[in-house]
Amino acid sequence: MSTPVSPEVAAALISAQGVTPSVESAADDARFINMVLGNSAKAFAQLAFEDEPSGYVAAQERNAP
Amino acid sequence: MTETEILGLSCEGLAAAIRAQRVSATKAMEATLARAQVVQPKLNAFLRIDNELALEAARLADRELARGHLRGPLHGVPMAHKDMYYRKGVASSYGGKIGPGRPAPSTASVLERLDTAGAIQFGVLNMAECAFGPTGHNYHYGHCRNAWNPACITGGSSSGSGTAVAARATYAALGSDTGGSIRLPASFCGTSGMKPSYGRVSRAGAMPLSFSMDTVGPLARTVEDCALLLAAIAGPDARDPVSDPRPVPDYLASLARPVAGLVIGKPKQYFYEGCDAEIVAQMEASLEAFRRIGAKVVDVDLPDVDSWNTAATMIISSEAAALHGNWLRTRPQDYSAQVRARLESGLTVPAAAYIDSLRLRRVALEAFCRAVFSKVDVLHAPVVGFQTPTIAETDVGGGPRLLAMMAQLTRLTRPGNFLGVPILSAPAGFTKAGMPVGMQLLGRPFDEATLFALGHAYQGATDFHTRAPAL
Repeated sequence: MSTPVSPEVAAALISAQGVTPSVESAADDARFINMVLGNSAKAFAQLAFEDEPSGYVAAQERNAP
Repeated sequence: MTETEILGLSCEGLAAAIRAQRVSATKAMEATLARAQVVQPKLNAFLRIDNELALEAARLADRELARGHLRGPLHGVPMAHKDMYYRKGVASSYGGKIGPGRPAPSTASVLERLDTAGAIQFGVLNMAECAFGPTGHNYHYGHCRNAWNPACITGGSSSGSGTAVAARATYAALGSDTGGSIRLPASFCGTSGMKPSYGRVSRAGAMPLSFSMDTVGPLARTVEDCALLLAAIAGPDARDPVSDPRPVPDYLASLARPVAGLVIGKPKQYFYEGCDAEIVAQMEASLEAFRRIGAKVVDVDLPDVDSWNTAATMIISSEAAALHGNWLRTRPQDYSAQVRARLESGLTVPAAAYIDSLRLRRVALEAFCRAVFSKVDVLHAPVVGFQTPTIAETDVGGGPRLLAMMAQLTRLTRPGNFLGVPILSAPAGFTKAGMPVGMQLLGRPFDEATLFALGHAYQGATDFHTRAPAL
């Protein structure tokens, strides 16, 4: 079970990269990252150890007419 | 020809009329500029109109033609483009405050190719700030308005491209599509639009948003015009590192390909979940039209599209945040609150999740092609599952409503960007409220030609693409 990112953690992540988080957006940022990490966890867990991003271009080639 | 007759022509029709010297490029430009001036107060479609430069270029085109010199298949055709394509020495706005003050060091490859084909750019079009918004709202230059009902959104981010083409204020326009930015305005504004395969059209000299997902393509009045424009701009380009090296098929010849016997897939999952009943009815009617022209329609099962949508969101957010990082640190006040908030969200995506999203792309494309293209030639689906909202309804500020609205608007378009397949959008009918409804046809990687053949045959059997809004 993963622990949700809190608005404070989201704001800290943004600040650590030198960006001043907009005052009203920390809750949105936390909501966003929790949503995308939650929705993708199952698909990511099924990725093969060897899968790499460059495989995409080869897949385009293989599936072109 | 009268001004009304000139403005009623397609790109192909006008180009043919100019070639045959039935109308001059100058007269076509004068008519277009006059039309642009009329619709601009109602639609806010243009960010700049270059009257004198455009007329001078049109007069030159006429002189060249008089000497027997035809530049190319678009000789003398007036066009305006989304304000994110660089013209050497000119600063594009990117729909916000970040672009101005950055004169372009060179001209975008797509503009060079349209210049070579003979098209004449007469202005630049409104767009979502930094191409990062699906509605057409713009808090810097004013919201863009839908030609069919100015209270409604145009869709974005190629907002001005959609509404200006619909309003007959340009013959065609370049858009860009990272999460739906060609297909959404094409659908909401009742135009045709082509999001090409990732790598098919050079992005050199186009403002980047997400380098893994950005595509450049045309919006135009007809599928035939989209084919004409794509033929002009597609193909290998040494200036774009992901430009695909394969030769470009003859798209205009593909328009004449027989479509009888082609198989169209109707998705059993995802695309019709929660879909408005009127949209469902228009999709059914469009499938029936395809049956009438000889295509076969079958239901197809889809893999887990939802996770692809999420992965696409992470890629776009992360890459946009990286590209804008320096300005977020030094000029945060130059972004609207919505765009700044969305860019900041991208800074929270962990590197491993971003990389997993990229790793998932191959798996998704293989799974999609196996599930879909082993059974059918193209997949047919709505572009959006709801009726065109008003500008006021989608002016939600920040908070959870913004996240939900963004997700809902791009839900049916973004998976196509993740897959990187070519997608044609075309008008498929109108709602009872009189607003256009768009369909999308998804094809195999680099198989734009089949989409053009089907879309052109469909427009030969229907008249939705010929209707123009009363303005």
